[in-house]
Amino acid sequence: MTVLIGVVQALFLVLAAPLLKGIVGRLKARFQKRQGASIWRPYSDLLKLFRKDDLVPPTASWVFRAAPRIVFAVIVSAVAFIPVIQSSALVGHKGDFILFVYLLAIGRFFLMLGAMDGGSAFGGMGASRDALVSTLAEGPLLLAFVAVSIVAHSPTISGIVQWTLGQNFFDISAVHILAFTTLGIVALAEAGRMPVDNPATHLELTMIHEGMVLEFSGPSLALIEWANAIRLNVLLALLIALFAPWGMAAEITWGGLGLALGAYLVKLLVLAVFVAVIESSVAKLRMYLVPDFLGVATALSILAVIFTMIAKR
Amino acid sequence: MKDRRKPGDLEPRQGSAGAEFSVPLAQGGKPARLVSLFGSLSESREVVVRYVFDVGDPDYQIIECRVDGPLVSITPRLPAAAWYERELHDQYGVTLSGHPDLRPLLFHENWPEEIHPLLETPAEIPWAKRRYPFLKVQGEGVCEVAVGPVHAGIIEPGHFRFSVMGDVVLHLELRHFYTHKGTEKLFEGSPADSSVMLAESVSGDNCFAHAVAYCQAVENACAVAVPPRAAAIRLVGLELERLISHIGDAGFLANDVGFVVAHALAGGIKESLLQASASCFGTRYLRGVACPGGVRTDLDAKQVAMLRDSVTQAAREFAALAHIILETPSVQSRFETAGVLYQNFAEELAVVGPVARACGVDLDVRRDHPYGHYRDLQFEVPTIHYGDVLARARIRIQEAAVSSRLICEALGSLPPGPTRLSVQFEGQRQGLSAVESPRGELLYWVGIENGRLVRCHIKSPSFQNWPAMPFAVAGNIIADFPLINKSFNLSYSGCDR
Repeated sequence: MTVLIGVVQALFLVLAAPLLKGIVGRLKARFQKRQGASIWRPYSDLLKLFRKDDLVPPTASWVFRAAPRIVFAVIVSAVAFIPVIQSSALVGHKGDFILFVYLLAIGRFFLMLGAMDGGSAFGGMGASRDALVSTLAEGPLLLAFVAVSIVAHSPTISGIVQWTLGQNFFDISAVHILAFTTLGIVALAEAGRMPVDNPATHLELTMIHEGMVLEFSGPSLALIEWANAIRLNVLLALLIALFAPWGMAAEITWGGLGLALGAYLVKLLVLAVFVAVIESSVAKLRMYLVPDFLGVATALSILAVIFTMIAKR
Repeated sequence: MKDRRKPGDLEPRQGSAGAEFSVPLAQGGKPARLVSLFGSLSESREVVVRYVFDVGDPDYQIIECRVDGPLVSITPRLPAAAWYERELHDQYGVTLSGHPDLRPLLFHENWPEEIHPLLETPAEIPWAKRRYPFLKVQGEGVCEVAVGPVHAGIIEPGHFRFSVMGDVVLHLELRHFYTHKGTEKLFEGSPADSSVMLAESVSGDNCFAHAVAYCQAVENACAVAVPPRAAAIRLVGLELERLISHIGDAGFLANDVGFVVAHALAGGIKESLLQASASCFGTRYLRGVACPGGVRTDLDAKQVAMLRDSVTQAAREFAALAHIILETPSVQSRFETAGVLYQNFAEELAVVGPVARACGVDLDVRRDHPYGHYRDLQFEVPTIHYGDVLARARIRIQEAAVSSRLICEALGSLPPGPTRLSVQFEGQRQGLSAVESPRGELLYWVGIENGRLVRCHIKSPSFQNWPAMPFAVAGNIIADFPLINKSFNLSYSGCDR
């Protein structure tokens, strides 16, 4: 039964990802006094792209075709490590958060390869910028995991979640606040959202993620876009699981699961509103200030690790 | 060399004395600002080149030169002449001695070298295959990035060749004129009273400024003074166009740094003005309003009140929005120090309009060379000396406030009377007129023969300002280029004509 629910929650993260994108887009449109597209629009976009031809530049090698598929496969495997409605994930073992971090990294690595293989200047430019962002985001992501893991005395994501579930919400430690802020910043950078990257831009010289996907079309583009939506969904699910898991079903009953799902959706909606507010209220950072922004995350994550020794919690 | 340059008919000035063509001086002993430079054909089919200078007087100074043989280039002394002389070379095949760069400007690799469209009308234009060498920046680690003419967004076509070292732009070379429509050729032989449509189609968002500049040139040629009511309505139209353009620009600047809410709000304010324009003039972008001799559309009392209310409200909303844009720290961090254009560069390249006023060059046709109803009104011309993106945003915001005040003032005291006079075209006439369009000084020169145009030259502010843009971009990171480009807000179509 646990395994079955694990499969269901992994599928949920994969299948609901475009909906999250649609909701954030709709919220942003409302902040701009626009009607906005339907929240189901990303699904029809994906459907449309899957029906189209896959155009490959004549100069591209097999990497160009393989990259979107690998990116998608990798992010779907990363999904299996995240608990959503029950406190255990589909897969979990000692040090699984390290594997999780590097699964995200593999996805980015192959996307960069594919972008450069496409042969356009913007693919290369986007890839080099993405390399910068992901290199700088990797450290704080890992350190924040380590800090939370030390506090929870558990080397697995599920273990951390189970420990946190046993705590009182008002009893949260400084480590958690620091790690939460770190992961929040990293999530925005990793998912290519403002203020690091502007997902809505049409200016090819300022693009990071969009620059990398310019050459892709049809099913390949659909897989990349879907993977990117899943990436945001997974990162938000991770924030919820690590820092606000309360409401997750401890025992498997229909009522408990329903309550857990409801609580999860409310928390997800709060985070979606938060993302939309940030994207609507700040301008994108100058490219050379992105390292400073992620530097803040790095400093916070180091503080979080140091605090685990001082606070002994 | 001595006889290659002959004095003009109008101005038998010092220009004839030697091989060196002496540029007229403005007050203070500085060389006068080059306004425009263009060729035309005399009755004997000789090429006549006219140099238009601004020496600081209300009237422009024109120097005429008949061309027989190579012409001494003035570009080494006046860099602002570079593109004009390249254009002269393309249009008339005039050889320019001493010009540093005579690559084709208007025409691309498919245009045959020996065809000069304003000199002759060829029956057939063969497809040519020429080469266009870009400037090569050499050195370890220097990369070339080619952008355009097809862009990821829906914008006009233009090619940008960046030489970058990492993310820093060392040099930017422009290759434009993808939308060269031969407008000046199309004017040839068309009737002077109805060609205003052609002028309106040069640059879509500045179409009223083009229409008024054209009409004034024709009126000056025929010595017609438009009725005061028509002059006042033209002023309302010109300022409304400026207001709409500046509000749109502020929104697009915010959009380019990802500050989308401000963009959406600016779009809303702009739309309210476009709708007000549609209900008063029957056209959103003021097309077909101006005509030689006056305006086609009159405003009744109800429309005047409606337009005043809309403009007042839009100005108030825009002032609040501008405050939000300028006071948001993340926006300030993007705007400040980005794309600085230095005053001496701007002066050397004779940059005009808000771009010039944002780097301390105090120029405004409305005040310096007053025309129409501007002669009767008092208004301030804001200038800022920082020359960065923030300065260009602020100058537009301040000018929008001035524009809305001018509109209300003109509408408040709209003189009574007719709005249109008939214009008689007889014999040979020439006329010049300049208008301060939202992008800066826009100049039309027309030659009319029995009601038909023999030559119509358009000096568009974009043609003047584009060569200055690379100087603002050099030293910035390539990701800031779209923002700098947007802060200049130059028209491709207006430049290419």
